[in-house]
Amino acid sequence: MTTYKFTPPYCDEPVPVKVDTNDNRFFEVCFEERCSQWEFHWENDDGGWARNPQTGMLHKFYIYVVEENIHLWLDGYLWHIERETPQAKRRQGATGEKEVGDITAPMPGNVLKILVNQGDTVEPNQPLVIMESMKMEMTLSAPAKAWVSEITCEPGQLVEMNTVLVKMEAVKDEPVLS
Amino acid sequence: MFRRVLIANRGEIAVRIAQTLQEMNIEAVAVYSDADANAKHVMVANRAYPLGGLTPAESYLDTEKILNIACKAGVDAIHPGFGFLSEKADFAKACKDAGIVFIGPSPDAIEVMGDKIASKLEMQEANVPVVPSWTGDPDDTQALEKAAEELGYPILVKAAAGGGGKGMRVVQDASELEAAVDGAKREAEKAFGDNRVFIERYITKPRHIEFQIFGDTHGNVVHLFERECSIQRRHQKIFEETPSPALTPELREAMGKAAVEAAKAIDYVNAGTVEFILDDEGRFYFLEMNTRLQVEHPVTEMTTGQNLVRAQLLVASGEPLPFKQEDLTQTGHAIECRIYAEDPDNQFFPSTGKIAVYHEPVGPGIRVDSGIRQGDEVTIHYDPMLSKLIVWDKTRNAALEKIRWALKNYVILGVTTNIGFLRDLVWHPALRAGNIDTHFLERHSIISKVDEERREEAMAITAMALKSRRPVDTGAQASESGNTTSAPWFQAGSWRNV
Repeated sequence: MTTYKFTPPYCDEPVPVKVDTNDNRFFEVCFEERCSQWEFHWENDDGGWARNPQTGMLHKFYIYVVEENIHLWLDGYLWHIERETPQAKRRQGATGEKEVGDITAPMPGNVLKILVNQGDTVEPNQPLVIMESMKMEMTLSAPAKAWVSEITCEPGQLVEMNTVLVKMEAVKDEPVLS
Repeated sequence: MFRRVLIANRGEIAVRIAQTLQEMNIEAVAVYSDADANAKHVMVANRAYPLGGLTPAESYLDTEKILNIACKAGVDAIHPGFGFLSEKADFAKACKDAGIVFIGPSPDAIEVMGDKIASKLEMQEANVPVVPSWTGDPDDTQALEKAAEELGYPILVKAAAGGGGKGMRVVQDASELEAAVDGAKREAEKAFGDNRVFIERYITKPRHIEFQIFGDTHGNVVHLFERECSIQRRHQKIFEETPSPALTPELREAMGKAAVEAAKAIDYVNAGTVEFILDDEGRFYFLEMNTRLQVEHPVTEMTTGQNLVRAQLLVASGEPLPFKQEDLTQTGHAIECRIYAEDPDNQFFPSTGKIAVYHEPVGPGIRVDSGIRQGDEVTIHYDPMLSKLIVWDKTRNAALEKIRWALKNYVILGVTTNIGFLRDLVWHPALRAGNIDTHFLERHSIISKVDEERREEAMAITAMALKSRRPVDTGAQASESGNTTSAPWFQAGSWRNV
């Protein structure tokens, strides 16, 4: 009997999954007290099928595991499942910064141009950095009014995805003179 | 006919061209950058020569290197594919000067049509309808603003040397104009080495309909019907089909005739594409002409039964076109989806990584033109298009059902792709009704939801997979050095805690 903890998409808490087998062909899988029987077969190095003996339903799968990240193709749909990582707050797709903070590279690529200087106060949607990757140019803009505290990249630099490019701090709106 | 042909390209198009060359008993010569040393397009060739370098400028765009190899390898002709040198008149001319046939149109035709300003003037003279535009000096801010006002917002800023959406900006009002022109100029300089831009009226609800045309050196020009390419993101096509659900037989005939007139006006030879914008009242305007084989050419091949690369080779070697206009018919319906390494959940930004698991769908009426295989690395150096999935069936609806099945059975793990997005796109009610235009993806959001009821199934199968595999700890770093033949399963080295 082995217990795994998986965090599937749109779940914040890891789910314990118990799995047991005697022959690597027939399995019992339990979520808490709910158990199901399965027949399981590897078709090749990276995928195979699982069959529910009660209903006869077959599920085709391919799987690729990188560290804690499990990429599962199941019957035509992709699942990204995290294994044993409680900090599941950061979800894919939620990378666009809505709040002031660090501006990070949304893709791997080349820093083309930096349009602001350290110490600048920038307005919402003001262009900060121009990046380029695979021949496409992309402008990264300020999500809100902010103060540029540090520039952590330089033109021509190759950066990985999520590299911090510009550090920013929130500024309060200046008092309106009456 | 040629004995040996150099393919000055990479990826799926180089693979596709090599196959037709070999079918015709012509040797295929590949060239490759350092980044592509193990690439599929090298493996499928008969001979291969290194170009060195990583960036396109150091490799596939380096005219001198490519011509030197062509001479050394003793080739009769060069096929440029699309992108890279395919629309560089200088390159076509340099080939000619070196005594090598350039498989494509004349340098003059490339030059005229490559210049979006000159081509429109040329087409106006040939009585082909064009979109109203202004081609003055965009640095003259006052004149620019006045012209934009006269054309009426929204307007479109386009690169004179453009293509593929690069150097293109939509401007909603005057306040955005200057920044858009600057951005377009910079992007155009980068992509084409030519920063000239112009502005034109932006047609709302436009459909992108293009006609495949073909000319030979004996004065024949025909069209091979239309391709509808209205589904675009960032002005780049991702879904193409033929026939277009928007064309009546009368409109098809009128547009086909205009396309042939356009080609005849510049004595066009070899394969080309005349792109039109069709507005919601059935009026069409010449947009531009692509003087090369097009990415989406397979849908035309599937419905006409013609091999366009074969025809290109025949025409380039001086033979007449293997078909006459009256021989050509459209049979059934074909659809192409472009498979990109990009993240639809993150503004379609390109993604990179190793293709760890790769399985193509197979079946009657399914064609995959691919430049990749399992274990390949997707780098930032080149266009993120990995492959093209093309299907044919008797009706549009059957073709949509088939491509959805094929997308669901196209497995790529390790690199984020748009496959799931395309799977849901082809099932969108508006698309299935044929109700599409180039703003489709701005209007309709394609949300790929996971079926929550299947969550436990997914976790159960993952648990069984982890439990039943107890691979040796291979050490994650051991497999980092390029394409090895070891199974990808073990390459992650991530199974230690099983």
